Amino acid sequence: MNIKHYLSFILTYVTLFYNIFCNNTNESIKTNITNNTNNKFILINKSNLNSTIEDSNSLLLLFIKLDNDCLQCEDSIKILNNVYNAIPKDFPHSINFAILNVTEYPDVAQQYHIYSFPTLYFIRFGYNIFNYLDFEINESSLLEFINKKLVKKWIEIESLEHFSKIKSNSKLMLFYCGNLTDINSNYINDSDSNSNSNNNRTMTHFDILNNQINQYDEMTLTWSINYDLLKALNCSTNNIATDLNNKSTNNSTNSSNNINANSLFVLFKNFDDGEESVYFEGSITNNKVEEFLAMYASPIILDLTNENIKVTINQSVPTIIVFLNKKEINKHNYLMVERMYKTINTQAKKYRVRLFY
Amino acid sequence: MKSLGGNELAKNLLGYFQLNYDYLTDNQLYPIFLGLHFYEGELKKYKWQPDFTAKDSTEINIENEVENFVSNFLTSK
Repeated sequence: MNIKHYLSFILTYVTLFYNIFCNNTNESIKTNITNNTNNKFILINKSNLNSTIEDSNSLLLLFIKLDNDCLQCEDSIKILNNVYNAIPKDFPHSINFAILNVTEYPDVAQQYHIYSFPTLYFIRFGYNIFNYLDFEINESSLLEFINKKLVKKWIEIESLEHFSKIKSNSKLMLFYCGNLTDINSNYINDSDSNSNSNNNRTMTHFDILNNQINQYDEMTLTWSINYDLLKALNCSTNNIATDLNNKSTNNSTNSSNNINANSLFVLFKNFDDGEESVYFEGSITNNKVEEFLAMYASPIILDLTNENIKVTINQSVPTIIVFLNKKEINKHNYLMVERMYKTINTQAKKYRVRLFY
Repeated sequence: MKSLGGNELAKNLLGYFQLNYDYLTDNQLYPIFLGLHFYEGELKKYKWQPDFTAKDSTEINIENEVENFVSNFLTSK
């Protein structure tokens, strides 16, 4: 037997061993997923990826790699299963759980910019993606994350005094002009929510607002049908027609003439150049609310973090990122660096260009 | 200010903007200004690296240079 035969012999057995061992490993992990999760999770493949994302109001999508490099991938499945079991039966939102094995679909990981495993994405209404950013998936923090993203606390403002008190304690506050119950029954077919998707989803104004404010965890959410307050804030009459009519009838005055703006909600912010109120006008759609919030609900000048990176990719706001190296600032150039800071900050505010350091 | 050398933030940033790692490596001259905006649905990148270290602070009109960069970035397509 010559050396060629030896090599061929060895290659055959190596291939055979690899196939048996690796396929068995993959199969055993797949079985493990199924057993561990009792078929509660959707196993994602190329053919059901888009439909699963589009059909889910809320989706927790776990990206795992079935190989020896990802020691935490199996643990993350167990944690996700515990989270599934911990969500109360009367939880007001439906959440789908899905797993995607990136070993089989590496191009999908690239498409979603995923470079480490396990990675968990929380996807709302088919396109709004929030990366769960803890590097180790943890049951309690994941439950907290879900609650934070899904359970929004809206405060009903009862008076002008109440309004002032809440506003003074909030750096960022959204005030909806009207009755929250009304917007929850106000359905629209938001076909322009994502130009990349064929998803014609029927959503309420309330869904859209809740979906879009998800990126702004510090935002205080308020609403009111208090007539004096709505009048003082120059709110739209459209939302509160019923309440105004009642009020007008009760007061025997045509007070609605005093309220002629079209704003459906108002954003109060206390950053950049101090206190400012910005009015949202027009119809409530995902695109319009997203653009409005991207423009006004974050400070113009920010330190770049993992959490606020997503804000930078909004199409409506031009962005400048300044990369600095503190080590290069010395006694010779610090004056110049200070002048650079001052000028770029002024320019960013002047042109409403979002600036990240 | 964040140190971007090889950390998770840098990885995320590179991923989102499909940037070459050269944008962030330590042998680059800082500051690096990176303008990002969408034009006709496509992400445009506009990079500027002024050489502040090589010049005396009195010899350079930094205000003018920064204003020019912002103006050029906003009108770039």
